[in-house]
Amino acid sequence: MGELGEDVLTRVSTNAAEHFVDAYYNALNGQRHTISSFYVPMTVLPTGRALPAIVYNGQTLSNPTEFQDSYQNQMPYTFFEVQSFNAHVMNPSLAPLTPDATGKVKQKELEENMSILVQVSGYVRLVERGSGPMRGFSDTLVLVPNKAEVGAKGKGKAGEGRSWLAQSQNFRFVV
Amino acid sequence: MVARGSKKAGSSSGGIAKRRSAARTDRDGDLVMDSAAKRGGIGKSRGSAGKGSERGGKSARVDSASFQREVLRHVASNDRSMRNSAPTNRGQLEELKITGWTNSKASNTNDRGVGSLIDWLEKKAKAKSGPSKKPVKIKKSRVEGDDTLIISVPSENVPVILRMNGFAFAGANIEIKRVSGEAEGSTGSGKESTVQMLKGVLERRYNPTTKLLDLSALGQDQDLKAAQIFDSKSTTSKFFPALMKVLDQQFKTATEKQEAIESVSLAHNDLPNLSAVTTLAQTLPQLRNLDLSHNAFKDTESLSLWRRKFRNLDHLVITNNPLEQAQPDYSKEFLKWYPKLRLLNTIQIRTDEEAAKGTSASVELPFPIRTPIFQDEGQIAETFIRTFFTGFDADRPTLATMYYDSASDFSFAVNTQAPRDPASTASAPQDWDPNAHIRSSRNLKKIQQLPARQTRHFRGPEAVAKIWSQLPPTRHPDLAAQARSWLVECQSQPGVPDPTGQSPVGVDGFLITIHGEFVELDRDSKAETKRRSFDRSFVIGPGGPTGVRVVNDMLTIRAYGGVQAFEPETVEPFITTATATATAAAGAGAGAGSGSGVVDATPPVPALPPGVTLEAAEQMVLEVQKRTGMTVGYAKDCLEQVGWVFESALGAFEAVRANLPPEAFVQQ
Repeated sequence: MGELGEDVLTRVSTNAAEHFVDAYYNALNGQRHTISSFYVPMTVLPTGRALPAIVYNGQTLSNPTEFQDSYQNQMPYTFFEVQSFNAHVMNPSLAPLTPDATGKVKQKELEENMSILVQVSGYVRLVERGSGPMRGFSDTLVLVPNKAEVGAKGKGKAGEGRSWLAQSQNFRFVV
Repeated sequence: MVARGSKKAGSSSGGIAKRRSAARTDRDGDLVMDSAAKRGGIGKSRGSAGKGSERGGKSARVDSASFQREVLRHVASNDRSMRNSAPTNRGQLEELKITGWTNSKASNTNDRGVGSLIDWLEKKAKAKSGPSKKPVKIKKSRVEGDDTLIISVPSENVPVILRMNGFAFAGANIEIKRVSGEAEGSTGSGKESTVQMLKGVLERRYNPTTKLLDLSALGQDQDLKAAQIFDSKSTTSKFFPALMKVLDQQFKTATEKQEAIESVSLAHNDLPNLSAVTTLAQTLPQLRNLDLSHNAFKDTESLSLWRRKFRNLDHLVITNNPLEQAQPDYSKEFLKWYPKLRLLNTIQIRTDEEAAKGTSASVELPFPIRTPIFQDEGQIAETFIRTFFTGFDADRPTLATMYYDSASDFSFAVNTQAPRDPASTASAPQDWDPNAHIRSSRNLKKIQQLPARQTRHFRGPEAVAKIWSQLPPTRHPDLAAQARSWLVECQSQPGVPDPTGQSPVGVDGFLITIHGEFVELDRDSKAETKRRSFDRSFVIGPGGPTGVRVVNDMLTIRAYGGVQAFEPETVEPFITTATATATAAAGAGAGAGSGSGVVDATPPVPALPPGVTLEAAEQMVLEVQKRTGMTVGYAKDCLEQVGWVFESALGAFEAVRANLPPEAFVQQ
């Protein structure tokens, strides 16, 4: 079983975080009908806990559709501006992978077998563009690959789906 | 002698000389007739101080002068006179004062010889103006007092006319001087009296004890009536800005003004909107109390000019306006507009605490700020957090060996642009140290090259301890004693690496998110240097000497952002029911205070497992109740049975739902 080099771990994790962060806050701002697609599908673990585990300003949710509905129906105008973000590999080996005939696991499979911790710091303008109240926020996410193993549909044959999905999230206004 | 208005007692004597040529035009071609005479006493000497100060070039005076012109424009009852006089404002004309001519032989004419004097001055000046012999025009003239003639001439002609100082005109030696340089207003009185009148209005209507400026029923004010302020539309609209300007001039500093005037009443003014009085917001932006009762505001829209003003407004009175009938839910709008508005029509609409925070609680967001979620097990996360921050301040190398192993990751990012503490007015520089902070900051927004991303990431206790040693020493507030400076949350996190390798799919750990503050200390003197805020996200899992290992430690350092955001927005009252236990919990909860999060050392209700705060428990009960329709008592029982793990409670409910008695549910 192969292992990924430090450079690959950094490249995969930081690129994944970058793409996710870009797309996710854009969705909160203006593509709210896509919000639920950023989360792993709702599942209940054997422990009784449900995923995704979203804690939003102290409110627990595990239904991405419910979360999306709140944004679509109740959230006023928002403009999220990410000022800083950072990412680490949380678990480089989520699941045992089966080697192929040569006894090796394809690099792509290895790259899609990690979870990533992402921390975001920024501000959000509420209610009105430019002049509405502004809050500082901090968002922490755990991303997992969009694979059937995490209960997701997968990216589809053409790879059209998202590569990474949020499994855990903790969001807070901090200013 | 032209009769002057006699309305204002105390105006200086003297008349306004009629032009010798009635059809003369000024520079703009406007007819300059004896319009000034029609204005009456007010403003007859308006040009002198204004232009004089402009010539003097002192900007403060210019402003004051232009203001006084404004005031006069506002109060002048004859707009035409203002228009006609306007060109004199341009500063190309200069005024000269001529005395000594009253003794001339020409003074026995109707105009006391003024016409002849002007003709003579023009002719002489032309003759003396060098080879070009350009005509010298005296653009305007007027007589002030008994013996002073003020003439206005283009400034290029001033020297030549001044050279005639001491010349004999019709047997009398005349004296010619510049008007500029004279004390402003010394010649008299229109603008002065207007300013004085406005000052008087303000003084009479100001109560220093209550710090109230009572501008109610201005239409009934005797002084303002006398000055015919409200006789024409244009003076009415210009009066209030002028009044505000005069008000502003009574104070040296904004603070002084703010302290002197806390309340303003604009009641009984028939205001349909704020356009006439909008300048109040610029003049008194820190106003605390505002009375707009007994006006003609028909909806909140008619008040929208002040929507973003008066950020510290505490009390608004809006009774006896049509909007009460037309827009019964208007209070919602004012709550949104004014973040610190506590009282509306003497009724409290926001708690003192909320108002003090001034947060935008009024913005109806779907995720109101709630108390922290802390889903610990066996105080694992709580113990870790307590130990961690004590150790981070006191002994970082030891801390690194305690919780970090060869697979533990740390990195930090500096958000140099983060929003600052909204409660603080001072914006001290942020002072990021290029070496200590910036060089290793891993803000991926800025650090985009792979090698740089790699080198700013630290793995293993040695690397972690080394980068920690480069960060400035810190002191975090005490977790228990200063709980309000912290916001700590903890949630279960599956798929955390298992260092023993026994579980190939990982084990359950905790995702801990902490928002708080610290002060940085000088390395040598240990003096406090800078207060900052931070966000720190940990993933912890089993392993290491303490049984807990850090998988990930990610820190964001940012400018101090205050702690208001940590206070729960919704004060959710615990529903009291017949269930004795629930009532007891509510009582204890109220006594325990809020916002303490994880750090309540001794939970007041032993039934709660460690780490579950009363607030969290209350919230869980309410949420279970909401989702299941069970009564509070049953919801609480349900949570107790599953050890206060919210998600499990829902599962447990589903499992026993069919067997629950009807009284378990809230009766519809």
